[in-house]
Amino acid sequence: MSGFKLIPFKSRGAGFERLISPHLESLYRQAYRFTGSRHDAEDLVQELLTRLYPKLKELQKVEELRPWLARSLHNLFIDTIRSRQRSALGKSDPDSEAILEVVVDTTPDPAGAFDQQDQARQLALALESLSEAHRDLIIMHDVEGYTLPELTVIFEQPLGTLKSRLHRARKNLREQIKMEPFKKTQRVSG
Amino acid sequence: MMNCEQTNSFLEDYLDGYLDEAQRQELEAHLAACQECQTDLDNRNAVLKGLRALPVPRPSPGFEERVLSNARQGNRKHVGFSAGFGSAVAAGLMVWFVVGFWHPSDRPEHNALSVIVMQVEQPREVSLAFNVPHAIRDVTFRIELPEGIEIEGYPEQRELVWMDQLPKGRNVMNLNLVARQGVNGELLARIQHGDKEQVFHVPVRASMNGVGITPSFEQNTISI
Repeated sequence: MSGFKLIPFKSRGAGFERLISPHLESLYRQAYRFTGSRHDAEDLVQELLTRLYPKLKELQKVEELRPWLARSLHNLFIDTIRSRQRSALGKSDPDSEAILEVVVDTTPDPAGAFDQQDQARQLALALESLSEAHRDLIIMHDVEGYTLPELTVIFEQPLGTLKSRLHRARKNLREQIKMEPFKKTQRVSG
Repeated sequence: MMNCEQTNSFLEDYLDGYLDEAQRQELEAHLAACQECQTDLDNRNAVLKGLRALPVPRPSPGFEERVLSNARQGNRKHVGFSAGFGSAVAAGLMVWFVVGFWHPSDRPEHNALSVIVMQVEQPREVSLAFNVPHAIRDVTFRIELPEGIEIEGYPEQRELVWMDQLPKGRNVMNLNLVARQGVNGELLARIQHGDKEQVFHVPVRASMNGVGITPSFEQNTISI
């Protein structure tokens, strides 16, 4: 029977738990935002923690653990799950134009508004249609609330680059959502 | 005062709170006078609010304890068997045993003083703690479950067997149990080393309403 072991009661992991526990909920949420699957999100967090556990001393030296952990999770996501998704779906250039055709609702909303469920569904669809770089940035900044200075640590990019990328990402997102009635078929960036 | 083009270029910084006070006031002055820019701002704001409200399902029960426990053990395996084993101290019920030396003819059996009381379909974490005076290598563990009780992730498996070591000191085995029906039985933990075996009995009761659920933490020591 693999996967099951007795745990020494005097765990050496107390320090690890103290460091990581306050961030677990946030890590899971981010993982879910990236993967779109509870199962994959839990796996991703598990993999991260298992890799980090032997590096406790390193972790204890990190001054800003929140963005540091977020960067680690994001990198792990790219190295594992996204690479798997890419191989299944084909590669996409993060900043390229229009490589994916998405058919969206063809019925104009007469009131020009939609209820919250529709909005959530359309937002999720629009987010999914963005390039990976744009999607990740919006997830971290607009959904999870990381600041741009924090994101320079997470994405290892200069602030100016991230700011202009965020601007483009939001513009693309708004174009996908289209507050006005949808066209029959929209050509969106992938 | 800002014009529409300038306002447009600052709208996102405004929403994100990156503008300084003077810029903010200037932009708000324009917004107050320009319905088109105000509508633009409202639309962007609506998208941001919608993004923040996108739902995330709760992780599976025991997620935090499980990932921390697995990390300590170097496990990467998702849920599955490890789902039943959370952190040592987070479990709802802990039963202590002392594992000693014994002779084959003795085959000592011990009844726990604790009773696992459960509600049907409500998971319950239970820890079995084994205090070992000396390290024991090549130990076979066997958990036998009464009918109607499962370990989460292992549906309809009444018996689980694996090999491990028992380091000196206290060792904790965490089980995440689920009752599928009313149960009045016993959980058996068998520890076998060579031709010697020690059996630990833990009574299990499960009912639909869970009346009489025990306090969240109990501790009993059985000496042999």
